[in-house]
Amino acid sequence: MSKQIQERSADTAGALLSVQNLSTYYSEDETDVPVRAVDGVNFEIARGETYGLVGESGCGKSTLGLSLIRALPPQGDIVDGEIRFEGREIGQLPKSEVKDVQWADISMIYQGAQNAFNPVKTVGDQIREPLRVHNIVPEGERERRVRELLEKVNLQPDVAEQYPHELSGGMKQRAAIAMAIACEPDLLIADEPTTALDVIVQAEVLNMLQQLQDDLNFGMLVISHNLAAIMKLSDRIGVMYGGKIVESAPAETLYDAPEHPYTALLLQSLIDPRRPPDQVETIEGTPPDLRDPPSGCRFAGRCPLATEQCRDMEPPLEVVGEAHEAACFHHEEVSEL
Amino acid sequence: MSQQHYDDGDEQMSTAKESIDEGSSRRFDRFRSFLRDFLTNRKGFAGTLLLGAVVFISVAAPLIAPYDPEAYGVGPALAAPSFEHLLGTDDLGRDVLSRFFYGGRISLLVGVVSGVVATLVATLIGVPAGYYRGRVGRWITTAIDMSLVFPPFVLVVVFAAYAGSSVWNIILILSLLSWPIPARTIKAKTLSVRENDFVESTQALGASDLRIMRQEVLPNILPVVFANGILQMVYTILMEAAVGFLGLGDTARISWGTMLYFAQKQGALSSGAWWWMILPGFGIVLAAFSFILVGSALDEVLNPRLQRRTWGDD
Repeated sequence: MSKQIQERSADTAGALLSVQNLSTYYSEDETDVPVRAVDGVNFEIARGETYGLVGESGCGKSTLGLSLIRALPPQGDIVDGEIRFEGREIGQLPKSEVKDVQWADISMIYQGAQNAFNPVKTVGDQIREPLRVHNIVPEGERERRVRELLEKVNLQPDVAEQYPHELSGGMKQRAAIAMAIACEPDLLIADEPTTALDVIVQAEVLNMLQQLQDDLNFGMLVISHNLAAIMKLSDRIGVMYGGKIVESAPAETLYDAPEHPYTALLLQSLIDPRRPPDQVETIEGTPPDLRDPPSGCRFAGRCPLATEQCRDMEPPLEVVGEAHEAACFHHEEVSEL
Repeated sequence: MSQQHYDDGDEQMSTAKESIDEGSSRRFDRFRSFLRDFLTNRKGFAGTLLLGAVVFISVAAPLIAPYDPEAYGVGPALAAPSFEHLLGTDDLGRDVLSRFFYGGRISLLVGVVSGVVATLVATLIGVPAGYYRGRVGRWITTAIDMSLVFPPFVLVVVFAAYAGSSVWNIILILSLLSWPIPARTIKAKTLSVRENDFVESTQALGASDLRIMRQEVLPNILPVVFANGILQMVYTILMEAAVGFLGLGDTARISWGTMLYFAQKQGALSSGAWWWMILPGFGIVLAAFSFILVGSALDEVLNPRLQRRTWGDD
């Protein structure tokens, strides 16, 4: 991979992935009002860093992941912004021109690995697929490479000859990881890597991702609605709400001192086994309609701190502390929530 | 890590062989297990037996037919079944049993060839119709829908009258007209397969659409394609019989349909020659029924999710 580092500010040039003002909309046709699933998002991921993206269902986090690997469904379109991967712009190019990046440089662990495998092909056949498509390993050695990959994720090499339905959920998830690292990507996108797994297997999978990252030094984007899992894995966390990143901070800072009311409420809604169920906090209301988002802050309708200003104006993402940004006019009051 | 073993003598044996030629031995194993599953399936067994009988009488007709099917007056006209003529004779004194054996050839030929061609066309058109979203998919779907409005039967009749009713003309027209319905079924199945994450993930992998349709979609819809193909053969066998019965078939060649046509035309019913009508009718039903049994058994055996159950029982 040629590293054409453009003349950009020093910190951007060093980033593995830099996303500027990315907007991805969904629409059936030209006359349709688009759904603004991702609306002006900025973030960066460095090599070896893990960036966690958290938010509730429908906030645009999966769309963001699919935008990066350019595998949006046909209704989805990157309408604005840029995605720079190792300095190369890959967001606006036609899909046919980024096929060499897909999976070879940026790969993905799909949401629900249970369904990410073709039921009528052996697991080995499917892990071999990226090697075949990108012709990375010579044909005669692919069999061996598949076995190596399976060993890397603690699966028996014999699993290669089995069909997906013969594997347990955890085994399938690990096989999906093996497939994702097949071409030794520089960036790994993990969309809900632990959803639908039991807690023991969840921990196992998280540890495995951590360990693989230490070995292979890829950057990682972890997408989840599971705040606890994200906290464990990520160096930095971005909180997404209504298609926008509303707060981003190092994991510890975010946990100890959130500066956006949505983050604070999200943290309070974490289930604590000692608390009786009726005292678990929930966030009242529903997320905004992304076809017609409110003009001001998108969280205003559900926010206990919202004022007239919040409904009229959109709060910009501002630096509120060291490496800590939040988009809230009232971020100073958040600690009192 | 727990690993599954199938306690099966055959599999053990093949493990030893695997060192020699891993790939082909595995494929052979899979084929053998498919064959075993298919023949232990009740419908599969019965269907194979019946279909085997139909194929046998057609292929072996020259050997097993007691008389020349075209020879006039090998017996008295309209003779009832006897030891001489096991199933009687027709109005020209031809042996009905011999004609019945030969008649299966046309029915099978027309059924299988136009069934296969129609299914191939249906797959080639149905898969992209379901796979491509948006404009391309809509265009192909519209084309299928437009082809659906042609009434096949009427066109077969018109075409037979216009271009001559040779067997190959009938095969051609049946192939060209009977693909739209299976194409719609295949399209519908493709639509549901397309929504799977594994299709999306193969797209994310950078694989081409053609490759995804061939490698990911097709293996998943193959049971539907097979089942449709078999139904298509049933349909074309029945169509051929109907065309023959109307006297629009190739009257120079014996088929079950034309046998019925002549029987009806020469008043077999009114003269009480039931044997002349029953046998070809029975042949048509037998052929159609055996195909249906085989198709239904294939559907049960080829579906990998149903397959697991039989493996678990081993």
